[in-house]
Amino acid sequence: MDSERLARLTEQQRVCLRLVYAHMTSKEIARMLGIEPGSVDQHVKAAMRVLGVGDRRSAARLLAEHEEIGAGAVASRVRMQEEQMAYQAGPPRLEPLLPLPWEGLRPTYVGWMKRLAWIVAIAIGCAFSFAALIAATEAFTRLLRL
Amino acid sequence: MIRDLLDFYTIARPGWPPMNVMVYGLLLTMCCVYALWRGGVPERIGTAILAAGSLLTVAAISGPAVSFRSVEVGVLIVDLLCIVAFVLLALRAERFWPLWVAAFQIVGTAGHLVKFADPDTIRRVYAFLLAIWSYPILLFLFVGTWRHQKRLARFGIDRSWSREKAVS
Repeated sequence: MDSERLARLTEQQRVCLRLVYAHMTSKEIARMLGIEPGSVDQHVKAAMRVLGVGDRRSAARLLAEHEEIGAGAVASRVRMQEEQMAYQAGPPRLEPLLPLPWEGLRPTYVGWMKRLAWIVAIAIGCAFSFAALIAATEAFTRLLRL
Repeated sequence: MIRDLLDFYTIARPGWPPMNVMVYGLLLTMCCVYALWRGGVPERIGTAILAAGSLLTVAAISGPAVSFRSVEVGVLIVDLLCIVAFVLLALRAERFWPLWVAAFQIVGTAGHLVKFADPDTIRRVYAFLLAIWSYPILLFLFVGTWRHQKRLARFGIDRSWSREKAVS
C-alpha cells in the first residue's frame, strides 16, 4: 500500500522530501535546487496528497524509511543501541548513595531494605526541615514586630 | 502575612470554589495527563494512586461544618492506603521518584498524628499539614515522567522494574 503510493512520487517530489527530512526549510531547499520556494511547497504538498499524510515531516519520514537512507536515522539508532548496551553491560556501576539519579546512577540493584531506609530518611528530613521552616518564620515574624 | 496568604488561597469567593481546590485540581489534571501520556508503567501506576487518593480524599472529608474539627478517619484511611501503594511502587520500580513520593505521603499523613496527639490543633492548620505535601508529589511525578522521556530518547528503552537480584 505504502510502497505503491511511494512509487507514484515524482523525482522532484522525492528530492524535496529528502531535503525536508534533512530538516531544511522550503527556502533553503529552493535555493539549493534553484527553484522558487512556492514550487518546493507545491512539490511537498503534492507528495503529501499522494502519500495521504497531513504534514510534510510524516511524508519525508515515510520516504526516508522506504529508501532506508534515513538521513542519520539508522546511524542514530545504532548509536542509541550502543549507548544502551554500554550502559547496561558496562563496568559494574556503583550503588547510588543517595536516592538521586546523579551521574546516571539507577536504583537497579538497590534492595528493598535500603529503599525503605531511604524513604524513612527522606520523610524524617522533610519533617525536620518543615518544622525548622515554621520555627524560623515564627521567630522572624516576632523579630519584625519588635 | 502568612494568614493573609492562606486566606487568599483557601477562602472561597462568591460563585467560585476556593482557589486551592481549583489550583490543585488543575495541577493534578495536568500532571496526570502528562504522566499517563508520556510516562512508563511506574509513572502510570503512580498517577493512578495519586488520582484515586485525591478523589477518595475529597469524598472522605466530612461535611464542611465539621470537617477537620476532629481526626478525619476516612481521610486517614485513604492516606494510609496511598502510603502502602507508593511504598510498594518505590520498592520495585526502577525509579527514584517513588521513594520521594512515598516519603512525602508519609510526612503528610503524619498530620493526622499531630491532630490525634493534640486535638486542639486548629482545623486550618490540620488541613494545611495534610494538603501541603500533595504539591511536591505532583512535582516529583512530573519530573519523573520528564526524565523517563529523556532516558527513552537517549537509550531507546527505559526499564520499568528493578531486577530481583544483582547479577554478578
